Amino acid sequence: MSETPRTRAQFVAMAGAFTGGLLVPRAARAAAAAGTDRAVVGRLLLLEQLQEAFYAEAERLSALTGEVADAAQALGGVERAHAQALRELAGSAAPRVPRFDFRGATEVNGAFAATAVALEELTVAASKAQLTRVRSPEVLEAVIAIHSVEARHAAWMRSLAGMPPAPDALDEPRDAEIPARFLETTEPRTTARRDPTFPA
Amino acid sequence: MRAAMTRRRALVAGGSGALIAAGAFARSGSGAAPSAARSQDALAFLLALQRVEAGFYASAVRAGALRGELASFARAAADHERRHVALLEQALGARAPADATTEVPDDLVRRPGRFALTAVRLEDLVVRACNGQAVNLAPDALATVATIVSVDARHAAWIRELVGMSPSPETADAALTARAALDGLEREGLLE
Repeated sequence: MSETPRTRAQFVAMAGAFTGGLLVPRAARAAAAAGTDRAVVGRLLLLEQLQEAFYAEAERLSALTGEVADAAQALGGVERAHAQALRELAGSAAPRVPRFDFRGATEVNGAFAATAVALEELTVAASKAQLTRVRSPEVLEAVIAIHSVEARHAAWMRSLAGMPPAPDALDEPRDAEIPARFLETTEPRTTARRDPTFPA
Repeated sequence: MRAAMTRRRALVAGGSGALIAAGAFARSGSGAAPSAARSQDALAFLLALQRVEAGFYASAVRAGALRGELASFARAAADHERRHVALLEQALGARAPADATTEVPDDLVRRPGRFALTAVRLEDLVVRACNGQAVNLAPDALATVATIVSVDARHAAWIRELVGMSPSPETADAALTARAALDGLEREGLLE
């Protein structure tokens, strides 16, 4: 027997389970679609899609164990929500999803944690570099709320990897692209949902 | 101590007096670039928050009641928050408001459990308050605050993990208004 929402509140709660509860204000979507923030949102979306794919692959393979597996599942849900929120912001300007290759890092706890640290640190630094380029207050409010969550993830993954969660007093911005080693091919796919890595 | 803490609340609030006067605790107007004055007010408010954090952790380190990783966390956070304060003071220059007395109730820093839970709520609050002021900051000020807020988010995750809470419980660190931040500090016993 399937469960269906019986009240508006239940529906919202269920939707929250899919989106992680991260709702993008309509004004933010309009601002991103209409303004110069589109490029910023597109860059951030690529990084979130990279993470989304990484954690989704880990979940799909189910090879991780213990705390690392628990963290992968938790972060996977959050990154899906971030990617979905940014896709909403980007609208029709959403970039195509590259094909990623994590080279086995989603199958072994140690490699997974080390790669997760690298991805989270990359996202924190690259998101920071984009913040000052945002023109719309609504879009800024949305992306900075994601930025600090990525920093929490970085600390969490660093701890799991046996590294200091907050090694420096200041986190510097860095203009960074997705490292080539994570890109399987330069041929883009048309949509994320055609990739079996991404659950529909 | 009551007088000192009351003065601290006045200084924290006073650091963003123009924000209060403008009724802009929530955010600047949609689409409007923040003025230099508004940006300075927001920066001054965030400086006051960082001073509260710095005072809290410095008091905990001085009290010497923490052990193990909790003590390591307190030492690292104290060092980081001191540097955050210095960075914001430098950014504000002569416009930086006077520092406040940073007395902290002994109970908050001598009982490890109380310290840890206060630290969780303080770090979560400051992260969300920084995010809430982002729209009021000019680009240079935003760049400065951005180097700080993610470190505070790391602190939040770190101390949450130490007390057995999820390091990252939400998908977004939603903006907190300045008024809500002040109320939160008051609830924690860090302001009166």
